Amino acid sequence: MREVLQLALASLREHPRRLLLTSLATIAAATLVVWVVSGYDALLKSHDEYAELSLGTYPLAIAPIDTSDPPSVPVLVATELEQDPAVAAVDRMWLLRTKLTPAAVQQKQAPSSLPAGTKKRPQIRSRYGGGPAATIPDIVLLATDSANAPFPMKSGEWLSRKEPLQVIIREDLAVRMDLAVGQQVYVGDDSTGATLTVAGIITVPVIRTAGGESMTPLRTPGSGQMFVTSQTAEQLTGSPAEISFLGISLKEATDIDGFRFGWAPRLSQFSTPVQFQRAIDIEEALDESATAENVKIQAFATTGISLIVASLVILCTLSMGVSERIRQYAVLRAVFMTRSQIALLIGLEGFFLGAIGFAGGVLLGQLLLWLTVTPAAEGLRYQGVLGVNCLALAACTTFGAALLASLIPAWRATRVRPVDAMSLSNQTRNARQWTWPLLPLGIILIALNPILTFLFPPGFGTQVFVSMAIGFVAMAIGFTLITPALVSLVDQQLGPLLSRLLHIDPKLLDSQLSSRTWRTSGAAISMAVGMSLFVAVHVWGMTMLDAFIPGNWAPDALLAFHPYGLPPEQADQVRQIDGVDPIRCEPIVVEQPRLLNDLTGSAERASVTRQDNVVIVGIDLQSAFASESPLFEFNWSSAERQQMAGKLNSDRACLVPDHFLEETGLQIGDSFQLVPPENPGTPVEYAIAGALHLPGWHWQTKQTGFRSRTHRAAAIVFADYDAVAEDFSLPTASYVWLSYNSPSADPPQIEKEASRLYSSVLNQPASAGRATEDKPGVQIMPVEGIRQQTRDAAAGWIWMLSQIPLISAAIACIGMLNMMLVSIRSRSWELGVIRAIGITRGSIVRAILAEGILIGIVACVISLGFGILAGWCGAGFAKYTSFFGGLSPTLIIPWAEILLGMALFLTVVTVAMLWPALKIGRTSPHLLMQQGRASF
Amino acid sequence: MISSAQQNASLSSEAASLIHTTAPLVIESAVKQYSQGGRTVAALDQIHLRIEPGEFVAIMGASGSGKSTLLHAMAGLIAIDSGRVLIDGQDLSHLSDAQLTRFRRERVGLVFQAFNLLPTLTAEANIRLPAGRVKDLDSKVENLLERLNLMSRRSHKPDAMSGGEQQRTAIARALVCEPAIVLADEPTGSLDSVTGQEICQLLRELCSEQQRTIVIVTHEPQVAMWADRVVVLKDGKTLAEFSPQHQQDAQEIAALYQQALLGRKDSGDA
Repeated sequence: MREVLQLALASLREHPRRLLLTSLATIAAATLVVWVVSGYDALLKSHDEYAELSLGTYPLAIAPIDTSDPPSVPVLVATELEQDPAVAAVDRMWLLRTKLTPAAVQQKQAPSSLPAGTKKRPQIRSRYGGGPAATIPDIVLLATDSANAPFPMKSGEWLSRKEPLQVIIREDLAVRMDLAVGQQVYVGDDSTGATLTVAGIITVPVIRTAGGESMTPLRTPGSGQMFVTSQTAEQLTGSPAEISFLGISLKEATDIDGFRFGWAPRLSQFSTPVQFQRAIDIEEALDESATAENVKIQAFATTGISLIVASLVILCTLSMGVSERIRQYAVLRAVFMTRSQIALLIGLEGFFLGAIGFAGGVLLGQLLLWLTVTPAAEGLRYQGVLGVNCLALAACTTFGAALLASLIPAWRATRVRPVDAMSLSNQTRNARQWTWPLLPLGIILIALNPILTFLFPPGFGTQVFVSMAIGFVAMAIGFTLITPALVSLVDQQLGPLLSRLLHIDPKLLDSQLSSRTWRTSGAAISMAVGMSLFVAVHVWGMTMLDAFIPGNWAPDALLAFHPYGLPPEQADQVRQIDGVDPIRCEPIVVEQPRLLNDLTGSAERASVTRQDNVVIVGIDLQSAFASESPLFEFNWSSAERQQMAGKLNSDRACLVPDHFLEETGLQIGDSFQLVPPENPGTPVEYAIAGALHLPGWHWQTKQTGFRSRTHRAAAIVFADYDAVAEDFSLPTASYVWLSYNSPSADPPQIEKEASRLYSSVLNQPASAGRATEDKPGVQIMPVEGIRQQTRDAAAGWIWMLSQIPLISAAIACIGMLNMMLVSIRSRSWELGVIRAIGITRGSIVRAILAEGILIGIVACVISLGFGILAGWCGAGFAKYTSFFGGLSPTLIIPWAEILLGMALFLTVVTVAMLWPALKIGRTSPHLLMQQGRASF
Repeated sequence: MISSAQQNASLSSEAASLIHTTAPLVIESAVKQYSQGGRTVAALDQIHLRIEPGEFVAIMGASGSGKSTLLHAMAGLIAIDSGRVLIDGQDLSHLSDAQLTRFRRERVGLVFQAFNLLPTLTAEANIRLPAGRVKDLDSKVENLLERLNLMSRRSHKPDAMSGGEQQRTAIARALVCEPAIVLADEPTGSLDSVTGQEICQLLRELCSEQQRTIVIVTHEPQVAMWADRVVVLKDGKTLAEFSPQHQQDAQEIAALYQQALLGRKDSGDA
């Protein structure tokens, strides 16, 4: 073992430059992991701290075991606990979600000029945050009759049962809404609620997620943002108080563990089984939350990418070492070493490289954490922490990479025969014989992914992930297998071309890559890992994006009349506004009702649980679709239009997106039932008169506030205005959908004119733009703005996702530089002779650069192939992993972005190659020949 | 034959330790065939050879005669197709790869034409390399360095040493585990004639003073003349054997060698 260790260290020391470059690449990979994973560790640390504080003054809490949709804690639990002499207090806690509005801006009644039954309609929330005076939706209200505050009071007094209409506000919320003790707030929604007085401000620990958003509340006192008595809560909700969880206080000198162990079996036997919650249980629940899981997935993905890149870089280094020392291994075998010792020798070399990478990566990562804020940790209390996960995943990356990278070189080294020591030269077996036989096998494996995605579509659930795993792994192996052939092809086809471009004698480049097939393939694959992901992210992103961009069918703009809507008869006045096409302008009513029957299979398919509803738009169907100048433009012939006009004549005819029929199995002529939210006992039925291709209806409905009740919808459905208004109790039109009468139409001006109209209709001032709590408003939403915003948001995400692949590609460039240095070193004698016979220094430099560029091109070719296929198949699989409205997106290849990325990559490759090229150029022919002779 | 070797002893008897071997090195009916360009070539063709403990044997022959193959078979580097190679009564064909490795480490010292020192290690580290946990390693290494006149070169790496120094280091490496048998494949092939003679003298001394069995493969009469016995191979067969008079009869060896080759040819032709 000592000898093996000694030899491994000596081998590494033999080429300091190679060791340095390999270490740099491994350190960079580990640093990347540390940088990303530190955000996850910071999140966990935040959870740890929060969990310690979230119970407040209570050492224990009791909550239902079932956390999916937990029912209330039985009252009997509280009464039995109260009889335990060790218990000081059992405080019943009721968690609710409600709205909070400063009483000064509380909503007013709809103006009398509007039809009876007119209500405030929800505003668009997706684009704008609320200001200090705005309603804060979904505040967590904690109702408790606890005699003492569970957390320190910042100001004011804790709740008094004698003063029922009081509320305690959490400190951060009070700051956000500019509230102080003694002020009044309105708590509740339109139907139920009350005006309460702020009795105190309380300091409660706040848990923040990576994005800075509040998390799903846990059943702990720390989840409360407002605190009221049970009596007040009953008044606010109009229903009797429930027990979401119990806060338990124990008498002094009570052994908490003994108490817990004594009660635990009894708690699980109640009608609703309950359990104790300690800080550790809360921390566990937080760590398992969706947000934490997302950050964890990000951490693992980065580790995976870094591991692959680092392993390929180390693989190249070890492989080169084995090739160079093949006869040394033969000598060692002949003299004293067994095969396993030789394997151990290679493994130790890899281990040392991994260890250097780990140590360097952790140190550099720590330094980076001091200097920067990681994206995942943004908004967290701890801005990147070098925690257990950081260290474990960095170790996984470096040592895992080292282990993986050692396997093939170790196997190669153990295949060396002791008798080879007797030969006088290094003998390596010719790998070129495998180049072409591997090609068909590689192509078959690559083809497996699209075949599994598109020809044999998987069902929903686990099968999707199995298919994806098989398809993508097969594709990765396939591309690895065809790489030697690609190397050969690029060498043969592009080598001469590049020679001409760079004015190099073609003989200088001839077969330089092919003669080192495996080494070149390894370097190209290591660089292609990052670039492939870059291409895949862009192809997948743009393919998915295109399907979600509102198509040409969408009219130019929507005018939203908030909060009361516009009486339909007043819509004619909108047609008169300058810039609006008077013929193509229709008032609409919009609702988001549930489907009575589970047509989409949302109950069975977890990923579509919320797609049990549709967005229904009431509109004059004849005018909007079947007239000579329809609002919605489709390439219909006049006969088709007439046919459509006939179909739309029936009372409750509707038009649906084409994919809705595909997903639900319904056909034209079939009917489906919807549940009006205001009148759930009376479902309404609509008959499908036709199906339309409506790409991008998702974002059209999301960003315009059409989806007012839940985030996702299965379809947009167009039906007759009067029918929808009647069925869903919508006396006013919340929007007017319009087209411009000229390309020069001015949307802000239209918005301004519409607000004047709205003001006159309501007999009160209305603003142009978003409504405020005390002032109605008219907002114009041009479709082009929706398209642009969607594109911008997607582009931002795509480039953010591209960061790690690009960084990993840059790291792999270090590996290629390493490989080229070795390649040049092994050709020192040959290069010396070439220089000696009169080839210029410039030619040699250009030839070396050309060689690097050719390897970069091989990496680009692999990346293009893998990335496009991966993106295409990924978009195909998305159909099965999430409903996505049943889309089958068309492949979009964003050539501009991809070519830009590749140009950038080839520039980095060329710059990296300058060092070896110039180094060789500066060395004298005599020295080159001397270096070439001194090899064993 | 052994007694004649003792005449050339030049090392002090204190420095030399005797290596006791109990059994001869025996090759029985060894056959080794290679496939070359679609036809089978017999590298060893029913070779019989018996080398006594402490004997110095030179194997001579033209290129392709099978002399290196025979040496590789003796070292357990290759497996013969049929026949037996017995060292200390142990049939090498019965040993596994790991056992063969151990056998080579403990029983056989190998010396190569190209020295085959590890360039990353110093002379001393190269010598120590196969020793593992050998008892009294430090004193053994010191003795070897002194005996082979490598003291001043112990910290040098191979690329800073002359050919002769490198080969002496290689011999020290071969001796560090105190093997009973030293097998040398053209040990002077990469050296000038003076240095080559120094190496031959060294091997002779090892044989004479320590009773080690030395087998060298060579085609040079100046090397073969140091041996107790010369075995001439041709086409994988033993052609002739003779005993030279040490250090005095290179010409005679050359003549005997030529005679053996020609005689065989003549008889073959006849």
